[in-house]
Amino acid sequence: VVSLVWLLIAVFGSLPYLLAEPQLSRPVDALFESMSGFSTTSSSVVTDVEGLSRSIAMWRQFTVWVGGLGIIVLALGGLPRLRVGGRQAMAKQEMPGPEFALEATIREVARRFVVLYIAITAAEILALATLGLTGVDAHMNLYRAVAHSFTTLGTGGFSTEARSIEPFAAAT
Amino acid sequence: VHGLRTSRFGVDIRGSLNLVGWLLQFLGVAFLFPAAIAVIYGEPIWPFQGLGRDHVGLRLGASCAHVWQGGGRGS
Repeated sequence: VVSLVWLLIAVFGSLPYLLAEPQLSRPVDALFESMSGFSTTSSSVVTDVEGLSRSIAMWRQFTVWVGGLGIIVLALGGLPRLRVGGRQAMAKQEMPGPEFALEATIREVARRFVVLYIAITAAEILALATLGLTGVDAHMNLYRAVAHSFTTLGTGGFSTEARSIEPFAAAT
Repeated sequence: VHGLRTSRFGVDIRGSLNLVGWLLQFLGVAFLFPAAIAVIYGEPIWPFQGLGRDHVGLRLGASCAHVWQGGGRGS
């Protein structure tokens, strides 16, 4: 289940690259970039990062954010509802009885994790954007603040800049 | 293990596809974000728009398949 989900999600995520980005027009390159994002590995086959359109660059950053959030966390939230895979069977065999309590706990933990993740992302966007707005870092703007918040929260390394974080001020 | 349908390779294909469909709900919504960026910066929106439309088609297809296989009963 996990392998198939990973593969299909990566294929789905590679479609914008295939459709709209000349640098990633080869399916294998697009799939690599997509899988790299969702797995938060952030290896890249893009040679001209600053040549990417802003929407494609943001999608690239966004895949890291979604990957950091965890396909697995999403799956944990969805598994009990869909009654997929062996988790129910495992719960029945290992712990007969509290299956419904376990489902509710997993779903609640996943929900809290998602809320916390979004809150921390918003806080980082605000912090970085403030640095730009107050003139501390002239290179930082709202777009870059959002993009870099996505990639750092997901523990990835994609950047909108060819030199990554180097062009930004020391405060950033 | 009762109630777990697996293929001869031991993979719960129907369950996997259900899960992928469920996750695609979120990723389909995720396309709205780069689409909004494209609108703001005057870039072509069609790749994300097209994918959003395909996503709706996929979901409808998956729902039909789910009901057709009897998964809609009582769920």
